Amino acid sequence: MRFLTGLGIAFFSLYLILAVHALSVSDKNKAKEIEAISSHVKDAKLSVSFKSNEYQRFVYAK
Amino acid sequence: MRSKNFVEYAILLLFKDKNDHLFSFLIFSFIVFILSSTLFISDSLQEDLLNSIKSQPEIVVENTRAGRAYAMHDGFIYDISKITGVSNVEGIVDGYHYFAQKRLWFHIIGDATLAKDEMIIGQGVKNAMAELYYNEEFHFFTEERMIRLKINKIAPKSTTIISNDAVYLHPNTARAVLGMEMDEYSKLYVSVPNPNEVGNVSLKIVEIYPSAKATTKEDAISAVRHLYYYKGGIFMILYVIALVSFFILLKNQISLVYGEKKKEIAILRSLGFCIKDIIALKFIQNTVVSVSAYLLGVAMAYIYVFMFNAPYLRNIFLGSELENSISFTPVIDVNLLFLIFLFGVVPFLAFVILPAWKIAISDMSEAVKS
Repeated sequence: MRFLTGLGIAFFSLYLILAVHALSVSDKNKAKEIEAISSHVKDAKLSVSFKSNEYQRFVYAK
Repeated sequence: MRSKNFVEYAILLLFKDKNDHLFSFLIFSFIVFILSSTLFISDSLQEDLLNSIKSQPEIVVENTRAGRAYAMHDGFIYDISKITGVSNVEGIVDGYHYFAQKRLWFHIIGDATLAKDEMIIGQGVKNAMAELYYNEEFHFFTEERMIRLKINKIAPKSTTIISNDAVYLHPNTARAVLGMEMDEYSKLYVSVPNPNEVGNVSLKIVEIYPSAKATTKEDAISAVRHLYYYKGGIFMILYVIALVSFFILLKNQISLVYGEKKKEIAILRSLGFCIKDIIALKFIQNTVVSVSAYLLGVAMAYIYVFMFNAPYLRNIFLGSELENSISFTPVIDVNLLFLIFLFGVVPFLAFVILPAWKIAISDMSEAVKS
């Protein structure tokens, strides 16, 4: 039983730390900054290195 | 309800045979880790992208010719603004500039709030430019001339999901960089105040210009939802194949281990343990193994994605050509985690209990004699 209690406490503490991290990360500020950019650049797209495969074809072979 | 001593004994046996259970524990936590990491990343990206298209206009019009993006002129704006229900049409400059020295594409976006000599760049663009010592200003090489612009501002790090490869310029400067004429536009933003008319207006636009593509806000939202849709289709088949392969492997391994432990089970039976007790013993042991592996896998996935920003795995989602210093917003879908639990831990126990039951019901006298 001691092992199970120890295991339970270890996982509880681990998940408590994760919960504290999740709550402490301020996503409000991030959302505000994203909205600030998208308010004047309204058609925002995911910023990946290449828009699509068609664009990759123009790149010289490495 | 089993007694405390019975549970203690099951845990003692688990420790005695820890090497036999270590394999299933490690593989199962690895599968849960990979599965949870992928879903955490896709959920986080989706959440941020949905935030970014909140202010999107009702309809975005893009033109094509010979299957490629093609510029539009003032005539498009005039025709579309005459459609009933349209309150405003705005022309936008947007395109890609090839940065030959680094073999990268920069996303040039026209922003009317900027001055003509102003430029805001994303974090990835800043890093790429800095590698070639463009720290204060940048030179755009076009067909006709070189355009020299000062780097005024860097987009905030938290916005890299939409700004990493972006260069924001005044529309006229953007036209000069992209080689467009002054009355040319890459996109049109169409405002339709009445949401019930959006579908009708988009159909009319396509009717007037058959080569144009009219994307409504609803289409954009559903596109984001399906961008990283890893909960169905081919990905679901891959998950199922991986899990079934693991469970078959697990069943074979457990059958082998329990086969070797037949004498031990026979002694327990001769001491008075019934079949139910043997199964309960194995059930307790494997519940501890599978639940611990599941909890560890999910926790490791959280730490990997939201604390370390998923090194290596994020390149699969975002491309690796342009360095992306994205930070993932913690988004946890509890329903999905429960689903992984249901389709992971429950079959795990079923595949383990089956060999235990098979051995428990076999003839014990032979096993004791050997």
